[in-house]
Amino acid sequence: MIETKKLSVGYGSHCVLKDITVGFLEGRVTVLIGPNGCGKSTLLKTVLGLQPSLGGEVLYDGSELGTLGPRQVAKRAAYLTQTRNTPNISVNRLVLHGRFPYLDFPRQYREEDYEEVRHALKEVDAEELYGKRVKELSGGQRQRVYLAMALAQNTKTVFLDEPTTYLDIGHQLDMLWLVRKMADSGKAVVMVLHDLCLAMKAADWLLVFNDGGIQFKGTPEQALETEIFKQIFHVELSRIKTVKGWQYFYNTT
Amino acid sequence: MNSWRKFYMETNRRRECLFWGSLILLLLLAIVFSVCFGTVTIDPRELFAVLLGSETDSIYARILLYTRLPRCIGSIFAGAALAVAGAVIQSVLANPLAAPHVIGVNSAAGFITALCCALFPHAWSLLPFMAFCGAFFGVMVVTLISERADASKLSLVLAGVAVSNIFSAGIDVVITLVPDALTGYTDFKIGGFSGITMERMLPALILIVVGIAAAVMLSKELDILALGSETAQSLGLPVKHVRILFLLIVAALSGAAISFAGLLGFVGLIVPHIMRRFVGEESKPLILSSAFGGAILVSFCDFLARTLFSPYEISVGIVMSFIGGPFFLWLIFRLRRQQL
Repeated sequence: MIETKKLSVGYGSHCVLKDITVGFLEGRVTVLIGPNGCGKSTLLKTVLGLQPSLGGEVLYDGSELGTLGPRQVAKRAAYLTQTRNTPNISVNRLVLHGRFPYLDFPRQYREEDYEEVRHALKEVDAEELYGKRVKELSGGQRQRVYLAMALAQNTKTVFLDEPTTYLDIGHQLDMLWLVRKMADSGKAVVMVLHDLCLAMKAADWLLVFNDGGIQFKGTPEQALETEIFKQIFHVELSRIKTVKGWQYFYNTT
Repeated sequence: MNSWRKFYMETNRRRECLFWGSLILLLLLAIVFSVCFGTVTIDPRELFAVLLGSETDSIYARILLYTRLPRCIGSIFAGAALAVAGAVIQSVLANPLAAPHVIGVNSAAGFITALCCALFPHAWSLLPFMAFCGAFFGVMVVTLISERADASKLSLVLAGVAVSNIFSAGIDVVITLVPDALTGYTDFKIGGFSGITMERMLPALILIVVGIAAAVMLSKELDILALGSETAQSLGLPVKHVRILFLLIVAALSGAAISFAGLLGFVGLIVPHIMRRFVGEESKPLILSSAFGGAILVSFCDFLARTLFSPYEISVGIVMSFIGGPFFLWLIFRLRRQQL
């Protein structure tokens, strides 16, 4: 499990989040929400070692992040960035890149690597994209292929930074379904989301950030019993039960 | 495996064979052209006789061994080196407009070369390594400036243009103060191969071979780096170190080429762009095909430079600019349409 203890994050000397202590349990979807610029993405990057922390600890299965090499980190945590370059390479090549942490220097792919790629593409329902060029894909297909790359990395924890941005609503729901499948297979999924209703639907565990700290942590059920959304987002969140489960919506206060 | 997938892979393989076959053929053609044609036309059969060692004393043999062959080898290696340097720098900086001469690497190497020629006129063998140091200094300056500014694709190119200008002013200062410094080069500032000898080139050729081999060996790392630095880091690549390693390779390749060919531009920009259209952005085929493409382009341009106004000769850099300039303009229009 990956956890933080009294972690402070920020840029340079400017601290955006202070004394954050959380654990990302396996088999659970943890969703991070909060207003723009509250430091959610910065927290993810710091936990992944992509930027230095300003104090506190990040523990990977009990060992301090600083004691692990980049490849050891990459075997434990995968990361899907919010924006990225789209190289003009084939889908299978891109997903194979997820196997990079497992390859020693001459970096020859082994049969098991190809096996992992096929498995990952199957997991995200994108087998038919094998051999296509990433540039030719639609936004939703691209996102699934990048998710397959993260899956091929075969880590216990997957961090996703706004995986639904720029996707139309159907593909957003597809994405959440895939995320649920990953958690059910025993992975810890940690996701930054912008959309409150999507967050409520997707989360097993919700973390609400504001003013440099965690304002709320708990299940979406528990969140509904508090005034947290009114305080931070100035909206009233409600839900109705439908045949397809709870549907969430909000009104301005 | 599905039959359509098999079919897809087979047609792909056929296309690949055709592509690499034609590259090799074009290179051979360029070699034969540049060795056999010029002010004196030499029968290709003569070439084989000389190469096989059965004829070493005729006038043709001397022309071949001391003029044509060194020149051909020099243009092939310089072209390959600059094109590979361009392909690598474009991937490392994720910037399609980057190339050694655009971001100031060439003029930095050129400045150090000119300075060395002025201060130590007899230290030929040291030149490629000094040029390499200059090129590395140039590439580090430009990347640091653009990182400090805002790391955008535009600021990198702008910083490169500024740095490039400063160093080329430096070259002018050296030439003004020591007019004889660059007499060994026909036209240092636009690049040329006349009067080149094997002894002068040898250290640079070794550096180029090592540089291209290193770039090919590290092609997987380059692929990962091209995904963006955060994704690369999260895949376990030590991004900072690897990036500096690639900048070192770029500096070695362009420094070595510049130390004997002068400031050849454009080849580093246009060849990787042409090759990308054929092989995509996977680094290994891109680097290898760029090496071939650069060699073909420069040796063919050198052939034109020697023969267009024969018996007079123009610099290969001039021919290349006439070909490269229009291409660059076309590229700008195409990129605008793609909104890169």
